[in-house]
Amino acid sequence: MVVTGVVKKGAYFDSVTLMGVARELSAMEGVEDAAVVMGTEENRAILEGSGLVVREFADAAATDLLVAVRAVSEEAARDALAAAERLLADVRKKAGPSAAFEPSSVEGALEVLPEANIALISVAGRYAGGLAREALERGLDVMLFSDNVPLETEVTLKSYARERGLLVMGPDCGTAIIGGAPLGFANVVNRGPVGIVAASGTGLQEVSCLVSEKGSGVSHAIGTGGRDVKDAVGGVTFLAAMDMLADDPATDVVVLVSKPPDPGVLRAIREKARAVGKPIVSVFLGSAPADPTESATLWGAAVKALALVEGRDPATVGELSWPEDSEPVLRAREASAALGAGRRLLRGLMSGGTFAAEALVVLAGAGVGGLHSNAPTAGAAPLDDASVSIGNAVIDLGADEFTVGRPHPMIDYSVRKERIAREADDPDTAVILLDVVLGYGAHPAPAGELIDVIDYASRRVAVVCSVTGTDRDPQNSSAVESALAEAGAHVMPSNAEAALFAAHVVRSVEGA
Amino acid sequence: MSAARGVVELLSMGDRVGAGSYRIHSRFRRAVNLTDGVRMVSVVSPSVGAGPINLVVRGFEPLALRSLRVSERSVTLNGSELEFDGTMLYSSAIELGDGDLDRLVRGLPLFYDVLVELAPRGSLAFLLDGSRLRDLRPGFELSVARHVSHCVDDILHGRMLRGVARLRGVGFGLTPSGDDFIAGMLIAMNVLERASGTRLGAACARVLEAARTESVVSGAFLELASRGRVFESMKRLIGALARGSAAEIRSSAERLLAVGSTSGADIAVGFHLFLYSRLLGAGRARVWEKWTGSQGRAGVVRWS
Repeated sequence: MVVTGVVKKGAYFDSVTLMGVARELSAMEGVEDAAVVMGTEENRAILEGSGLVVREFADAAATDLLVAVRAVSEEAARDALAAAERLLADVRKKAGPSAAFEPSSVEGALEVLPEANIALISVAGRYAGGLAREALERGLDVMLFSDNVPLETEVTLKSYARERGLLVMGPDCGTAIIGGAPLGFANVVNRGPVGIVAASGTGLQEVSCLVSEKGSGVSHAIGTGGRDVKDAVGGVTFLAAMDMLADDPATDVVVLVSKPPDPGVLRAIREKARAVGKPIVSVFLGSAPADPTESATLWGAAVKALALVEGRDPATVGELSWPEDSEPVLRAREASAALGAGRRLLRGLMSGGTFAAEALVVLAGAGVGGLHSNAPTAGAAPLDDASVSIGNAVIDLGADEFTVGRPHPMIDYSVRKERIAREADDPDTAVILLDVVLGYGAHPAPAGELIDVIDYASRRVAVVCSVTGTDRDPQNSSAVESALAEAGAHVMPSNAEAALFAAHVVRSVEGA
Repeated sequence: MSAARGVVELLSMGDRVGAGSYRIHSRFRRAVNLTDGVRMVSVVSPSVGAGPINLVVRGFEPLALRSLRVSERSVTLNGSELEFDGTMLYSSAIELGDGDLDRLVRGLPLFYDVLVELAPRGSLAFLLDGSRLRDLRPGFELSVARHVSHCVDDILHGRMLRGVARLRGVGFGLTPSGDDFIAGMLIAMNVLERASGTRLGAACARVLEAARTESVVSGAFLELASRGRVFESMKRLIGALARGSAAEIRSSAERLLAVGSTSGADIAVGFHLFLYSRLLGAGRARVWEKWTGSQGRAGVVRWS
């Protein structure tokens, strides 16, 4: 016979719970008796009288919880104590105070956290509108992570929010950083003076990470959802967010990020930008910069913002380019020289439309011709079938044709891995361009997913990639970059620089 | 971002809530106990109800509580100040007068029936109904029941302080059933004092001393009980026993049984048994038998 027990310092439960746990332990095979009680002097005396006392109980306090088991073997006793841990943890999880309470309504959530001023809604699209409306009625700003929310619902919600001085971020808003709190797919970035309004989730992530990695920081990064800047919605949230950052004392510089908005919305944004009263830089990917405060790339917008933070004129920051004798250009030539005969084409396999668009802008700007894409911009020709690359192709693997019925490629790398191997086997392929996005919600170990296929591909083609993230992200940016580089990838600090590196490889092949 | 807009409302403040800053002691689904090291305060949902040291707050999830400050004019939860006026003050004093004693005696059998019928499993209701012992698990649970029975036997048969000293701290949860029983007993002593004019203040003080515990929560509730300060459902039950109808006694007893997991029932058992022994004990047992119709159902379970 074995008597064993543990003291759980400061743990407490109601009596019915403790009796229930003790009963479950007593019913286990090999257990003769069990007790789960508070460690009062009197309870310890009864434990002793019941043959359930162990030496550790001698110093227990009335506020400690005692778990005692008498069993026929060491193994049975050990199993019972393990079961007690599990059962008590389950109770805490279901009803205890330390566990996350899971409200089933906006009202319930507000009972838990009455001082909340923003609701993050991630439910099926047909229910999201109603919940968002309820949250707005209760005075909350809304981040609508859900997609498949009808356009008319979005318009109605945003109109109502505007009347109440509130914000609806989304629908399909995947990323935001509010007052340092990352929401959705966001990265752990420094706090600082740069405020971001973005109708692009990955665009927001790239700019915020670049700003942070280059030594500055982000006050707020407000996502709007991509549809916000379309004509039907009119940029309601985008414009309201600009007003908020204008009024925000923590924001000194504002960065605007979007794929090309509807022309009318773009006019309104540019007009609003003049009235904000703070320095603004913009990137409308795919549309030509209208003045020196606008950039053609996410990289450019981040660098211009940093110039403004440092009190420099953004006009002094040009678009991304490298001298012919610079290190990356020389390295690109080396990579080109190592390619087998006939390998001459670029294949961009991107996890998001914004990175695909930026890559196309950079490639076109660097003189790479014959561009094709399933998300064409910068003069690229459309691909009828995105599963088959034509010419220098940049594929948005986050597009609907790849994501119906499966997770986004930032989470599930299976489609991309298969495509990397296939493109590497294509004797025409010279360069494979990749993005890797880190942060909350993204794949927890992307390097582990990619290193085998990068090792395989880099023996045939030049693999070029960027990592969007920071060292404080759960995945650790530096660790991911090191692993990818060790597998054979050319790892660049930004998506734009990766695209430019890829362009130099292709151009070197053409010039050879 | 926009400002906080949750609607939080203070409904009631117990008359024994002291001014000061309190830190979290323990949290339950509907209540959070806080202490300043000496005194206790409980922030509770409306479903728990008012009490001498309760702050009843609507629109506020106790799980979200992080800080509490109480001043003479305001209550500040998590940094948000709540309005308070005198109408919210809950009076925890037991209100009984001449003539209530006889009606109390007549109400006890009905109270007993409700306890036996509805007291939760795991409570001390086995002291009223021996058949409930069948619900207990052989081994430690029956050992606890046996110990409790011996203590209560002492309390009710002339060895009160010895019984109290051995009963304190006995039981499973944060407020052990033994402490709850003693609290019920102290409340019963205060009821007797007010309804019969018998001076029991000194006896209460001795019981409190014998029940002295290192548990801040139990200590606070025992102290309040010894001074005749009771929570809303207990006060309602006492009022119903003294002046109410059968339906009122039943509904108020049901409400008392809903307090905590077994606390309400354990207090009720202590309250009932002590009143029974003093009002219907030696010399009056026949009245009890007439009312209950079964001598075997009442009294303390005896062990061979």
